[in-house]
Amino acid sequence: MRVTVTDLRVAYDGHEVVSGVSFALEPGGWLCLIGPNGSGKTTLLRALGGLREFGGEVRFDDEVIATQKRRRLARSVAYVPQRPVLPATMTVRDYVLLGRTPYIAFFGSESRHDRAVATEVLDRLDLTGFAARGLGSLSGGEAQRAVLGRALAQQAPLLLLDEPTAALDPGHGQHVLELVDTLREERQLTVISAMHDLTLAGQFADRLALIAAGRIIADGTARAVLNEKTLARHYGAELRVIEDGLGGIVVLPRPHPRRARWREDGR
Amino acid sequence: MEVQAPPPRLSRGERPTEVGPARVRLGRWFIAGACLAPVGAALLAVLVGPADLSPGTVLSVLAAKLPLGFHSHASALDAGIVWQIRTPRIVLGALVGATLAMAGASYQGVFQNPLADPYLLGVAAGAGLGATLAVAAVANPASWSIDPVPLAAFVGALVAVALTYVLGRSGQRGRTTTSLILAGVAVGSFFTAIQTYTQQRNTPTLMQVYSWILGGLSTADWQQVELIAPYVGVCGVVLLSSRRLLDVMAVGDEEADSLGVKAGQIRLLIVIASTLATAAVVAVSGLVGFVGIIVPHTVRLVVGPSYRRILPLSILVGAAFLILADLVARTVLSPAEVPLGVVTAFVGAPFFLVVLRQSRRAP
Repeated sequence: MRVTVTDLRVAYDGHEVVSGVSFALEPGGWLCLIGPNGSGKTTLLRALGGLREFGGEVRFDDEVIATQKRRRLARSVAYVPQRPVLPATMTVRDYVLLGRTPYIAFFGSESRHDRAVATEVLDRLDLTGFAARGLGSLSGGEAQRAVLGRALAQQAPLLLLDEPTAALDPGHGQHVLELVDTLREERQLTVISAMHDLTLAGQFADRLALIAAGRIIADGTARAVLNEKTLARHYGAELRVIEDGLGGIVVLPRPHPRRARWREDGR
Repeated sequence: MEVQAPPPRLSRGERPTEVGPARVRLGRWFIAGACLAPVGAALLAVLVGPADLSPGTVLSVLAAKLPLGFHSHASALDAGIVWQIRTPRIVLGALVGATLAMAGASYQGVFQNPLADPYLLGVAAGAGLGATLAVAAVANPASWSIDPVPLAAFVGALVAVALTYVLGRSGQRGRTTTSLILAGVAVGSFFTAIQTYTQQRNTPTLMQVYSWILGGLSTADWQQVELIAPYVGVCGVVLLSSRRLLDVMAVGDEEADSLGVKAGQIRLLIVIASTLATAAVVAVSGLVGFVGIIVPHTVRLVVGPSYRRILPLSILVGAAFLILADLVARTVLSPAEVPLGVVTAFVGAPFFLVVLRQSRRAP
């Protein structure tokens, strides 16, 4: 699904936290929003998910989302928050089935087709063995897969991910992003994510958009956006951007001079 | 400084569980038992009472009411005891129990709070004040075409909850649930203060008010059944139809919104339906405590957290539980009666503890 955002503005209590954001994303593309804490990444994602009132215009394909009803919008866009609420005793199958809500009548219950979709998603994410388990018994990686499963059950062409790897160790974080990348190819999903790990963001997304104080400062490929000068200005930190020798970019904190001296001393 | 995001959080008051085969088996037996329980409880309750009637007499009176052309040879007095005293009391007990359990389960779901009961938003205090004012102000209730006490209790309950809702909505934005619960506490305390003051100023009616507050079905008749049945019926259909939405609400308002459910509207609908039904039954039964908490929790411990199962099963178990509690209330000190609220707490609390222990053993 093509996403077109024109002059998007979001305000909290009269104070504008996202201003004049515009971009277009082709179907099957992955745009990653990067930027320091409080820059407006989550607010922008929530606005795109229809969870915040906003000014400006957002179009999914040719339709303006402001005119869409809540249920209809939930069929177009699946939102995975940074800290999803996981009711500990709810089974993984019941949780994934919640993703079918936009297709179920207000007072209705799941159809055979809804159950089949959930079963297929559980199978695809290797969650079949966990289907009858409570969410509270899952590890961080398994829980994140369950959350992705609920989003996939929505069968929405646009997937919004807010810090999908924040609670995961590096191995599980990479696994989850690889899964999203594979699913993006398989299902022609358009993905917009917010991430703090700039190396992973550069590895997986087609495009990065650096946001600071609610505005897009830089938008382009990882190589174009991730440069030391820009990052230093907007993150307020000394970061090193180095080639990994495999065509990718690694972003690391520059060691403090005192720590660098210790290393030279062999201490 | 960047704060490391914590791992996905669990809902409050819940512990990690795995649904094992023993629990599934227990759940199936429980569902079968819950379906039969109201019928069994009703049969037992109609056969037992202070009047020494034989089972044959009782059953013949009931059979004569069915359109089968059967004629009972029971005396008019016996027929009256069965059909005009015991049967409406059982039906009323079933309606009261089912409603309190259903409303309790709905409140727990919609407020994501395991301690929520149907009286959370001020129904009890409002009904109590209404009943107290009616008892104190109406010198001769018999001259009224309908009993003013239930009517005043019903109106008082609705006024209290409406006030709670208005106050709660005006609270902090984005924290409607907490604001509502706090507003419920404030309105409840305020109404209880007025009620206590009114009671103190009218000490001759103290006994009557006190007995109403403790709850009971001793005045049950078919007219009361007809009075509350429409409220219970309509609200029951609304709440049963919303049971899947209660599961959606378990992931919080924002995620429910992202799934296409307007959490605020659903909450309002469920609160209105639960409150109307509760106010109707409280008006005829007084304040029967504990049912709204222990029945849904007992069901939840056995069949799991999904409201698709909790809500219908709570209705069945709540009906059976209150029929049996009322049977105890009217027979254990016969011909005197024990207040129904005392029986529900006395029987319910230990029973709940047994279920709690059993559910921990089931893997």
